[in-house]
Amino acid sequence: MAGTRNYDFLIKLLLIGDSGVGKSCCLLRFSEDSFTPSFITTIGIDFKIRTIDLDGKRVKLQIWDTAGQERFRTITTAYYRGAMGILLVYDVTDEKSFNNIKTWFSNVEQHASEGVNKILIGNKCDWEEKRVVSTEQGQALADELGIPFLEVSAKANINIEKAFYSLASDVKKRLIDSSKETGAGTGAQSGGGVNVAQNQGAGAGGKCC
Amino acid sequence: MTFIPQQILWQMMRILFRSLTSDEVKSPWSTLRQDEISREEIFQDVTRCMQDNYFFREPDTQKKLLDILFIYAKLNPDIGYRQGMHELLAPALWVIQQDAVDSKTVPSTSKQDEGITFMLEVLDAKFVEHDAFSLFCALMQTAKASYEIGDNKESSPIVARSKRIHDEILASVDPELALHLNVIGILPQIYSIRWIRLLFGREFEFKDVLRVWDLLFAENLRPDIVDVTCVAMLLRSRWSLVDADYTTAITALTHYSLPDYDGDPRSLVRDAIFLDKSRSSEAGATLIHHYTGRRPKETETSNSRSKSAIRATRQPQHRESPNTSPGRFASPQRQLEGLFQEVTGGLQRRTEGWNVSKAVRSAVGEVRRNMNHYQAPHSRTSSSDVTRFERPDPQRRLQELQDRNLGLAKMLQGAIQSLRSIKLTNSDNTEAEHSLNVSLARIQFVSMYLSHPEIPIPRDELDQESQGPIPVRQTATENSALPIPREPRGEASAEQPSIRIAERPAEAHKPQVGASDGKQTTKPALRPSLMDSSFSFMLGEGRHRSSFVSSVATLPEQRRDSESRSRSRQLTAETKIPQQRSDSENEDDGFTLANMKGGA
Repeated sequence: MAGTRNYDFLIKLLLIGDSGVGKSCCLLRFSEDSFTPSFITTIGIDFKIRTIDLDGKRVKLQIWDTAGQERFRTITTAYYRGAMGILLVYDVTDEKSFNNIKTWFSNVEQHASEGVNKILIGNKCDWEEKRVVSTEQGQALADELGIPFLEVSAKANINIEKAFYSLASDVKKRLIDSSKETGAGTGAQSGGGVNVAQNQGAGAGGKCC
Repeated sequence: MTFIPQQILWQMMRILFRSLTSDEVKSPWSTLRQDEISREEIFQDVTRCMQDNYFFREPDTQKKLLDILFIYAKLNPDIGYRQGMHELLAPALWVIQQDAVDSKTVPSTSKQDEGITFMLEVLDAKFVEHDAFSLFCALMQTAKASYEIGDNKESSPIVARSKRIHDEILASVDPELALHLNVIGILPQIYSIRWIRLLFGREFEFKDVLRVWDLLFAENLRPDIVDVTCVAMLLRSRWSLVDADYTTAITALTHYSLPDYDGDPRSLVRDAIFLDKSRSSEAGATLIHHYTGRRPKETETSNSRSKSAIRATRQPQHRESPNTSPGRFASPQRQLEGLFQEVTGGLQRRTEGWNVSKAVRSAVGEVRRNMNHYQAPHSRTSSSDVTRFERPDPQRRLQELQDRNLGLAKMLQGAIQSLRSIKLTNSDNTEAEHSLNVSLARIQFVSMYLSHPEIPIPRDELDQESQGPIPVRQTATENSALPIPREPRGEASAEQPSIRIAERPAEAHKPQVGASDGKQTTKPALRPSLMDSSFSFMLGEGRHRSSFVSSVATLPEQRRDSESRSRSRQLTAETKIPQQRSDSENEDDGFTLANMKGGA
């Protein structure tokens, strides 16, 4: 299978967050550029792939979409281990999902591999009249956790690409750095010794709408 | 009004406040709050449930789903509501709703019928929610296990179960595939959690899901059959999975689709029932070969062994449908057919065990038909057609048909020869008439074989076609239109009287039995008695069982013996005395057309 490889990097990403915040919709928007209002509940885990071009390198993103109800459950822990980047998603119209981000974060700390890249995502930012979590609150939480932040909308296609690209870029940078230090790549292959300190993805999140 | 000291009043208010804000489970306020959260959580899934079907978008339906799931969660606090349960309930509700009858729409004259009253009660639209709840609870009795979380921090029951499917069942059925999936790092729970929890509800079209469930329920939804069905699904995609890299494999498994050439997913459950009986690599190889025409490497050399192993696992099948045809299990396809027959047999036995009396069932069936036009028209296709079985390999079938045609052509040839001989020797009227009858009988048989391809042609008939005419008068064979080809014996024994007439002209020729083949073309009267031929079943005598009959159906021995033996005795008595000797000889030697041929 290595012989037919058509990418330079393979990056595994994981979407977590409460049920109904729109993880699957974000993934569908990113992988197929589509949106359906009548979405179905994710059972267990789902999986999508998209290959993107990042700084001239083919990066294959393998994205895992988890079931929201699996919080505190052991089923998803297996997926945490292999993940290189994690998107913590909440719904700006659902305060509970925002409050639960801390629980999700501690899950990540507990189960994911050390140094895994993370990003905080506030979905449904186009739904202003229903918004209960402000951008400032989101940014404050992200700062507290020490991770980047973006508000997105899968429905209106706002910042979805940016969210995935920036996380992938962070992961790629980290992997290259670590492979330079240790002399061997971990998960992803050091694509021909790219020695670049590439652009840092969206460090500070922006208000989307 | 009594005076309450301020201090006591203050104390009471504190207690009240504490109960309102307490996190204790016992507090009614906290219970109410938790219930609201629980209902919100369930409702979120209900509004995302099968939204492509308009029925599930109706507020009334959504409320039913919500209430049923909520009550179930309350009654089962150990598990509560878990995502996926809603998609087990939804099909049940759908089916009940489709079957429901509004009693107001039924004319009062019909209501006088006892059966209709009963069915109206069973299918009453007022109780759709109640029935759905009962069905869901019954379903969850076994499905619940796949939603349990367990105490183990590192693993949950469903993960352990998925692992067992891979490491035990798949590993024993297809070691090569199991090894490959392990090597490329596929975690079985990634795909199997959804397969198991939703009982394959997302893997196939809705109408097919209902059909698959029929078979699963007929197996009592035992966890084993669900697990092995997962393996059957893996085997169906075996050749694409065994060479796949991680991404290809995981994509194929999380977005499973049956190969085009076999769109009916019920075959997967049937495969599972087969595999469940023999969890061996031979059984796995047989299935893989059946569907793809290719056999996994390891077992390629042990074909014969695998066949005998499979055959051994299917011994009970002979009990269900006695079949003496030697070619019956010559191929895996045949083996599968046999298995599938066993499965229907099993279904039947199981329904018998459900204490549903035949009377009730027939009454229900009758009234159910009447009900149909009261029910709202719907597109749901019948899910009870479980008896449709696998198509045999077309190549093989073609070959079989060609062989059969050759055999029939040979039979016709024999008949034509006999007819020609009548022309040549029309000196003796009786002989000619007999010969004509024999030829007609043969042609009749060819016609029957042609119109009922499922009746095997007895090998000895084909072999002997050129040997000599068969002494059956056409009156006997006219009935061989045999409306139910599986019971030719019953038909034949009913025709005894005509055979008796047919026998009479033969008396004169008895002594000539045993004449050489060569003479037969000119002397068609040379023949053995009907009792000794392959068509002796028409006499109802058990000793010389015709292979024609025995390969088709079970012999109704008792009836034959009681009804027909006396007739056949009578028949023998009516024939001339000199014949007695030859008859007894025949009996002693087991004299048949084949013997005659050998001796000639």
